[in-house]
Amino acid sequence: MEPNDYLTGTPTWCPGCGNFSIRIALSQALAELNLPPKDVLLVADVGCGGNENNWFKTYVFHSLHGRSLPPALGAKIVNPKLTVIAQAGDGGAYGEGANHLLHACRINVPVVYLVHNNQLYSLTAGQASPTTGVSSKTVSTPFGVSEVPVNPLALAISAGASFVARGFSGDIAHLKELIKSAILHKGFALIDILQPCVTLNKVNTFAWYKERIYKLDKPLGKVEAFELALSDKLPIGIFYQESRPPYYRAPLVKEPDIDVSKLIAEFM
Amino acid sequence: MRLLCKIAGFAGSGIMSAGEILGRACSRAGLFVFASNDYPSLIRGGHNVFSLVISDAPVYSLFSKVDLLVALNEESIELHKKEFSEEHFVVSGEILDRFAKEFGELSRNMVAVGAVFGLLTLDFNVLSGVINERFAGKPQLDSNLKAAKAGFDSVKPKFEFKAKSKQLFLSGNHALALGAIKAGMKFAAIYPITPINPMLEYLALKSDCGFVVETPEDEISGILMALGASHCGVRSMVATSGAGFSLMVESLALAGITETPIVIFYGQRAGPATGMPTKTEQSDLAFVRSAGHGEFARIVVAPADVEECFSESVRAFQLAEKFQLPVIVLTDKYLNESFQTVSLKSDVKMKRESFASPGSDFKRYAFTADGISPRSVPGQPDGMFDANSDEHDEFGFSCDSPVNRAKMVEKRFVKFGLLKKELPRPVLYGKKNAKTIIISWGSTKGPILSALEKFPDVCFLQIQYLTPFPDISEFIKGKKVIVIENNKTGQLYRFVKEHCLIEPVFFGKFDGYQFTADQIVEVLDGAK
Ligand SMILES: Cc1ncc(C[n+]2csc(CCOP(=O)(O)OP(=O)(O)O)c2C)c(N)n1
Ligand code: SF4
Repeated sequence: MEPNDYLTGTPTWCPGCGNFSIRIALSQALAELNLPPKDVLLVADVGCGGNENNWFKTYVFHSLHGRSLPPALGAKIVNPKLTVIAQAGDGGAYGEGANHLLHACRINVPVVYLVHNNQLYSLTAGQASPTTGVSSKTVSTPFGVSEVPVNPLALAISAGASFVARGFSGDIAHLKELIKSAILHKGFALIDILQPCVTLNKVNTFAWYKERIYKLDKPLGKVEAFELALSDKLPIGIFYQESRPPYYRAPLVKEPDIDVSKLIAEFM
Repeated sequence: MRLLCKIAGFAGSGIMSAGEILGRACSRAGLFVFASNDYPSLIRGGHNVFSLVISDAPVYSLFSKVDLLVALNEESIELHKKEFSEEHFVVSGEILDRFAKEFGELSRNMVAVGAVFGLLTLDFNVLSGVINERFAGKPQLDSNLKAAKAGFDSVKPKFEFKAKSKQLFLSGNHALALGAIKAGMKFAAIYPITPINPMLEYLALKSDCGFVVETPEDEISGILMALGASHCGVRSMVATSGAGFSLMVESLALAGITETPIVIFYGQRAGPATGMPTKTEQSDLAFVRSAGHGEFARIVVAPADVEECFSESVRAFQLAEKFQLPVIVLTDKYLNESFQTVSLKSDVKMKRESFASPGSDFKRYAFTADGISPRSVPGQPDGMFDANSDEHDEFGFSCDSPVNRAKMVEKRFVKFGLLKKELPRPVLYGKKNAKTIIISWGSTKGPILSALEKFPDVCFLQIQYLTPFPDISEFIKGKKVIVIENNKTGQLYRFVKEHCLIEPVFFGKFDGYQFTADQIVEVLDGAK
């Protein structure tokens, strides 16, 4: 498979937007794992990143804002043969749909969750999101953000996630490898992807990230990973991975029908 | 012979199970039973009643006068004595106390069940068979059997029935669930809520037959998981009440625009908000008919009794798949938790709608004459498409051209044309040429049918499929029209008024209880 086998159309993101690189990294990861596009389901959120629903030539379910995980879980449960990738922005993943993330971590259905984290609600033109830094001024916080931001990695680790990683859209090769590991992981996998929004985020710019980012060479123990997630450092890589039985039910897609008359007779 | 028996006492004293056992044993002995429970939103304490109408002819509703009261505590006699019929009989006090002491307090309800069975002049072996099945392998089996026998032996036969052959006895919840299983449902996501909990629990118990039952983190997740499963070609459902459905509404619109089949079982209860969570009402018809932002096609069906719960549950899945839209099966607490002696039938030809054999340039949302486009599912070669919550073109890609938009909206509604031909028509009960016609929907049917026995010049039109709304002009022409509903504002009444340009009379009830047959009689007497 070639990366182009998964792609279609021409994205309309702003030139230089981090979303381009994430799309490329995902297509490369799928190609390197040789997954036929017919067996891939992408579930997209609503947002700038979510617009990629139009630019993938796989099966796609474009869900509601904050709601890409539940359909992804439902699909994977009934058809475990599919590779299911759910996508969301930080607004969708950590705001509107944060409850779903918490539970996806627990349930451990093998779905890959790619969060395009640009620290803003971008599609609605730059309001502060749950990951916007303290004291940042945005159109919705003209006097600066006063709330503590969500810490996605610490949240996922504490909620019982079995694969927790951070990627950077500015390093496609590294991100591609992360996505491959996530797809191969037997359980739910979160990758929080730092994605500069070149148009609206003048704080967390490409250069800002470049200065702070460094690579982890291997996953850490749970407590260490949790501590690192809480620190001011900005490493990318797999923070934490454990092998835990994934959620599994027999595939239901071709299941024959049940003889209901026996069940009815029990009410005689 | 027909009598109303109430089993009453503290919540937590085994009233539900006593009632169910008695109802099943009576049905198995060849009698007809209609039963309904009434309980507060508590696990223990508070007053709990299970009412059974037992008869040798079919019964459809409760009545107001109590012929046989089983008072598991003294307070129950005080609470119910104003309902006593002239020849009433009470099982209480000394007998219950004596045997409860002998076989254990937990067997008090079984002493009572035994006594009632004896009073009804029925065969104890039938009752012991039911108790044996119910408590098979449980430590209380033996004491329950002994308690029931002691109760049975302590009374003299009092009421006599002409028994027919044995029949099924089950609740609306069970019938809905069995319908879903018969329809080949493979995925259910259900967050607990009264009145659909027995449905969740029954499906969960039977899930090893080969379907998945999930308890999601909330109803938003529930319906979306079901949509994800349905996207993969699996027949999927959710079940909820008003509070949960309110959370599902955004996703209902998603099902509408992506044309993803889904069946939503909706058991109404007395709102608004938490309202009276264990009481009944038919007050969400207007809500489900229009819930969801934007305009899209849906089906709303209101089964009216336990048999219809089964038949229309089966049909709901067939319709959802064939027409690729959401189907809401609207019941209420009274119906979900009513038990009836029934035979279950379905006239639906079970058929999986075939999926497309996609070639190159597969158009999932192709414009077709009947509005139904070919469907592919993940895993099918060349069938890749975007099930898009944005307005889309025939491939599913986002598209906001005005021409495409108008055509897509039309396409999603064209289905209604074909659908109207396929849906069952409203059913008329009674004489076609009666001067007065009652119109209603849902579980009000039972009390109306029971009341009509006294009004030969009144007929009754039951509207089962409420969206799309059927043409009912042929039924009502030249008649006085009365609409009866279990709500305050007349949700069907308003619709009939607007739709048929007539001025019907409306009677509503919104005290948390469905009408009894006698209350409908009063309404009709007053409307003369
Ligand atoms: C329920 C709901 N609320 C609000 C919106 C409006 N809305 C669309 S996208 C968006 C924010 C997107 O931010 P994020 O998820 O971070 O994605 P990004 O655009 O930054 O990629 C909002 C608020 C919506 N579509 N649905
Ligand atoms: S607004 Fe930001 S996130 Fe959206 S496309 Fe432009 S650069 Fe990308």
